[in-house]
Amino acid sequence: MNQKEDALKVELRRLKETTKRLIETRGYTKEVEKLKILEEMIREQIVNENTIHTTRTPG
Amino acid sequence: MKILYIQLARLGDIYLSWPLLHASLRNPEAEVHFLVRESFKGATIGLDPKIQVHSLDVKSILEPIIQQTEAGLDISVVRLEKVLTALGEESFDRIVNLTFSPLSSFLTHALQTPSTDVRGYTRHADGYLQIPDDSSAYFYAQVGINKPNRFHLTDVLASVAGVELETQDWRGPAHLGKSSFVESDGYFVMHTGGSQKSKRWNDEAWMSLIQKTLERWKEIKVVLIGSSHEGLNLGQFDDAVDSGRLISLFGKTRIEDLFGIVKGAKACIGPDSVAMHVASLVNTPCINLSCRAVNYWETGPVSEKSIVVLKETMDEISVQDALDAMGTFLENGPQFQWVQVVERKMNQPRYLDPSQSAENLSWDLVSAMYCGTALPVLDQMSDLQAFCQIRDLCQLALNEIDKIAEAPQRNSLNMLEVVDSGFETVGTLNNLGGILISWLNTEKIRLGPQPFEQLIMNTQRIYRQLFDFCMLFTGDLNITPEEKIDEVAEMVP
Repeated sequence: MNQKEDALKVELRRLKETTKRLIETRGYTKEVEKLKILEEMIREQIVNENTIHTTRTPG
Repeated sequence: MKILYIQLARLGDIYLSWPLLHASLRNPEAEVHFLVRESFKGATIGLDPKIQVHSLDVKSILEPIIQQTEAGLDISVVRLEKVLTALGEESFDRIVNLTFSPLSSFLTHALQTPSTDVRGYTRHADGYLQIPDDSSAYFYAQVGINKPNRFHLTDVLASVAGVELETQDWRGPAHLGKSSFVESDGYFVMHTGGSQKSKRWNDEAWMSLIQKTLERWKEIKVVLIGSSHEGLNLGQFDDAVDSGRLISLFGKTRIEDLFGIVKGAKACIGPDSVAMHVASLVNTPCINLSCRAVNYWETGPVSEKSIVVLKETMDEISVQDALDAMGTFLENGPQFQWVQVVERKMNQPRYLDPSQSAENLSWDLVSAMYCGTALPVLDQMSDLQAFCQIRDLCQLALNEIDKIAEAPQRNSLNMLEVVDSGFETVGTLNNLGGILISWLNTEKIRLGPQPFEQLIMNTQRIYRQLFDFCMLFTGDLNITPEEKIDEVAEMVP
């Protein structure tokens, strides 16, 4: 599980950097939105799939 | 009308959504679709077959990334696109996001078109959170642990969906017969597990309850349910097991098997869990062992005659508490000391809480703000002071916004940041003030990208609304720390 989480954290960091760069250069596009969806999927995995309805504040 | 309901939370939330799905089917023009996570799809088994279930296989989508394969991200994107394309081809007229999570908000936006009627969390075109409907705004502001909401989640979700619930909407699978797992009658179901440690009762307490139940009520059987890792060591109960009075189903059932087992029970005993929600759907009474880590108002059982045994922590619930609660079912014992399920009424909580807690005032305020019920009386000086401060901060904000409107190039943002900081401070220090600030912050989030003049007008509207609401309590009262209580009392309108 630690190895999996480490891989996810690395990928999450990479994804966040990529989406940030894309937003700055091209704005919020459909492609960026797909990356954001993947970003959130990964984030949920890292917090042990805590998908309770009372979730953290979306930003 | 083709409707997609998105429910990406866990098993319990899927079951909490069943009533509104059933209610949707009463509309003869509705074609109802339901999107859940693949891993929780079992909670859709038994739904009316007219409801078309779709699943989001997160594990499959993320697999290339997790395995760190070459071009893993690209493969994951392709898999995600396949899902989005398949759902997009359905061309939903309405999308209702029942999940209230960042993931679901991005997913909803990815699926919607300019003509889609969207309810629940989604995104603006710039990627920021959009909360299009008032019910979802209520959820954002006031629902959750340590929040003042007392509406049951089933009712909140139905409100987001825009459907009216009826008693018939609480139903399990059609043609639900006797369970093959339990052949006899006269049993209690006990769910001894729980998805989170803070909601679980300790194993020793369960063992003691089982023993005392079997000793006290000779005619009663006990059926234990839960996953295999939630199982108890039942070695001391060999006789009861051999005689059939104690039936262990740990790890032997699938989620959909619970319906038959719970329906045949005299009552279902357990923490906030899937078993409670299943019991609610088949109207089996519950004895819900609950604590402050859970907001029972939102997720407690709603079947008739259910009660909630509520303590600060699960460890504070004694075995005697549970036995006394069971006695109310078996010996017609008094129920007044427990939180009880009451008859459902519009815009009302589902429970009667016999305690007179300070939290009642918070709920009274929320009810006044959102449902137009009578304003509560603020008899604490700290609350009145907080409302005066919020009122004054609103006035300050309105003054600054007027200046910005007159001279847009003027930099008043620093002052507005100071005002925002003031709001946060008041909201943090005072519970009732916090409810107002939650409302304010939510309404500001809902503004979204818009032309400058429209933004000014809508922002003014929000501050003015909050100002007017505070004035109902404060009038023109000015409170300073030096003023005496009796002088203030004379000034209160």
